[in-house]
Amino acid sequence: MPAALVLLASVLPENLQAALAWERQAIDAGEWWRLWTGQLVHFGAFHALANGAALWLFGTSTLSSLPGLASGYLGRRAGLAALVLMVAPPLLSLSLLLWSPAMGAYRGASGLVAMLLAGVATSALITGSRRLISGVLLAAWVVKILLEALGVSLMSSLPGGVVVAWPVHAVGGLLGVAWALAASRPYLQSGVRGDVRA
Amino acid sequence: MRLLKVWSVLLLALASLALAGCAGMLNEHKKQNNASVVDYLYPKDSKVEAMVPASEVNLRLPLRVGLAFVPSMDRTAADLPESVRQKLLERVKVAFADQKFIAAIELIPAAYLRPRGGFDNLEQAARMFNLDVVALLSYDQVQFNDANRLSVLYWTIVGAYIINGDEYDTHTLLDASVFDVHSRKLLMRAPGVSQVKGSAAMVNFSEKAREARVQGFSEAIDNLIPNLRTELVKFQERVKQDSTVRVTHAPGYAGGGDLGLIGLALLAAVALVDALRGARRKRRAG
Repeated sequence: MPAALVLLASVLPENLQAALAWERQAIDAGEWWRLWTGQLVHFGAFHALANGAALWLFGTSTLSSLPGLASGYLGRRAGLAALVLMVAPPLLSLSLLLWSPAMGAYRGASGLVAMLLAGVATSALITGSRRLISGVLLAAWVVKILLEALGVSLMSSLPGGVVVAWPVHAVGGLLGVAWALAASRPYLQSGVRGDVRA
Repeated sequence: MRLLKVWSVLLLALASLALAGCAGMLNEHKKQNNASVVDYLYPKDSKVEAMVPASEVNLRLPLRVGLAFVPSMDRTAADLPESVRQKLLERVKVAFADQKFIAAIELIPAAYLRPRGGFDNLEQAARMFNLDVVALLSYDQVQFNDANRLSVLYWTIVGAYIINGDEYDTHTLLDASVFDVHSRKLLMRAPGVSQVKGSAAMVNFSEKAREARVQGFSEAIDNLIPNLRTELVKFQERVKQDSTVRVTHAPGYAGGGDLGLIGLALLAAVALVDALRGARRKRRAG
């Protein structure tokens, strides 16, 4: 579903995409829907495809079979998942308002990708399965955020003149970890270990 | 003795009338104080440049904006003190400091601008303060001073201290013209007007008239600020259609959430490895 929304938004006319994008001045003026929709629009088709593909991977049975997502504990707490998906976009947008004062415009769904990635990896680490893959993913993501904070961006899908908004990745990762911890409470309380799949 | 008394009364009456008359002559009937942006930017002895096609205006946001009064060619006693000018400019600065496309607003003191300095002088000041755009405030203030009917009581001597026999009527016009320094193009302009009326006694009329002139500028600034805000909104809309104005942003203005191709490849690799393991597990179970 999120991947479909991203790809749908990418084919809208530019003036509509501009009306949905995160823009500091517009948000200050009261256009609050941009706190949500800013995560769906992108700078060009290439940017949209990259993030859309990542969201699709999380929606397929492949990654969703990782413990903790959809078929795992994250999926069992469907209410919590729905709440997180509603609350996450404005929290990601607010992180930009607070920690990137020079940034006036933002587009991209990679904050949500970061949240899903960190959530899946953390959940897997908690349940004791796929620890190596999950650990590698989390470590790679932390290294990516550190490099971006230092101004290093490797093979970015963004057009020239657009910088990578690393606070969104950091906050998305933290949200994912928090989501995984909240969703895994029943598992932690039951004391079950090993590969857990529904 | 009686003749002496009559002469004394006559002399006293004559002196009082003369004094009352003088009250009307002590203050000039009209004081004018102006500074023209055209005289400043295009002084009479400057060469007239041939008309050229409008050059492109490049506005790189956020802008560094300068704010200054146009230097007056005739610094008379009626002119505003520099300290008052700076306070007035500070109010305009505070009113626009929250605009997101403005990085900073610098107040340019009068000492940095020469009367009839032209665009060269403006560019020198802009280089000193590192400015992209300069807003020049030109002004025209006229103060009319007249005696009213109460001024006849000045002959009482005491009346000159307590009777408000002189009136002032101060008309002030301010005009803010915003120029792009590099292209020398006028981007927008907005007016501010005020009228201050009042009266004062003869002995303190100069002080009250001076206060009225300052109040005139102050009220004209209050009138200018909302007009300038309106023009700013219209300019933002106009720029979208004007092909001669190009708006760009400083690095870091536009940000994107980007997984990166390496990140995407890593994620895809993880998904592939997990899919292969899952398939192998199913084959063993089957």
